Amino acid sequence: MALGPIEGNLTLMQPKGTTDAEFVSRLKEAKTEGASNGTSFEDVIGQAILNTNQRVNTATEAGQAFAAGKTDDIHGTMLALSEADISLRFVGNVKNKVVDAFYELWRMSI
Amino acid sequence: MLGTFSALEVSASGLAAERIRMNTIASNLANARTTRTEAGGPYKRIDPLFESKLLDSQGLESQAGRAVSTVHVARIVTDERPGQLVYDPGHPDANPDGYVEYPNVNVVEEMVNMISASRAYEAGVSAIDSIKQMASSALRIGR
Amino acid sequence: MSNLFSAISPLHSALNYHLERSSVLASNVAHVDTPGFKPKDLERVSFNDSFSAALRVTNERHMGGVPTSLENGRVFTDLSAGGGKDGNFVSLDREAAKVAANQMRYDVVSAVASAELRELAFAASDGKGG
Repeated sequence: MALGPIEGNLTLMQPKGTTDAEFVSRLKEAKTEGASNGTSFEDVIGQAILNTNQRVNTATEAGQAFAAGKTDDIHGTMLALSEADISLRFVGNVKNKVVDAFYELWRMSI
Repeated sequence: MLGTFSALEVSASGLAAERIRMNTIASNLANARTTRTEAGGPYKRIDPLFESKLLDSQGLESQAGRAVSTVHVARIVTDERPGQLVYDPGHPDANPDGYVEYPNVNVVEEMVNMISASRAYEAGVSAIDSIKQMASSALRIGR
Repeated sequence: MSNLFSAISPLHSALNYHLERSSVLASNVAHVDTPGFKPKDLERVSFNDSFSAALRVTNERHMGGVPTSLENGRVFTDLSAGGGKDGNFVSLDREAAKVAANQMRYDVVSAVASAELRELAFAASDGKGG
């Protein structure tokens, strides 16, 4: 065991490799990705609905795998569960809107 | 991927190893003045020999998996160095020249080792706390 | 593939990095008294370099960018604390500081991911709450 100095304490707090600045800029790129390549909000929601079933399956499997001890990935499992939940909410919301729109049209035609 | 439970396994091995080290130190201190053992001769101090062992199952596929290892006590090593000779012809364990050989235990050195083992143990406990803390954070995702 | 959760991918990958690093650091702490042991650490890799291109493990179960991959960082040996007489280079103080900093970063990224997901959940419920 060595009793060496801790040179520049700040360098210990910052992991080696990419800096926080690079990480944040990558995050910003990811957020604006959709907007810049011409994907509209409707397209995003449409895709979300199509993928919902898959996400729910992934989430269920992730939960089961963790319970069975096949994986130790806590944050991965939690993220999968959360994403499935949000996808389902979108689907539910869109369904409600479609139903509302249908009834409105139906009333108008009477 | 190396996860929570690998980290806990590794930390736990550190605690176990340091505990064994504490036991050897306790034995050394308790026997610091033991001039006669079952094997004959004075008590000789003991040290644990630590070695690293790679994790067996998951984790070996990645670079990090090979950089992580648990610690084990390979064996207990006896320090064969001679102890202090004290002239005391009346002592039951005196040799023909009237000298008694005392154990090769230096109490101050053992105390320093004990503090070091204790610090190492606490550092391991701290590492475990931090691993648990991270798991708790992860559980709050999406809540 | 949906863009909806694209901001979550780099966060997921950061969580993977910090978690893996926690094992590497725990191993250093456990080996404070192992003769000849040299402490390791994990280096973050930039998202755009070729190393990270190799990280993109194709797995249909994972969606939205960088999944749980095989390599979450680059291993390097950290000898800056100096060596002791038995060739051991571990400094408990240095490792303890790294453990604390790494854990805090994990916690923050986890909180950021939660916040992102809450925003999306809010949007999903059409602004009417959870």
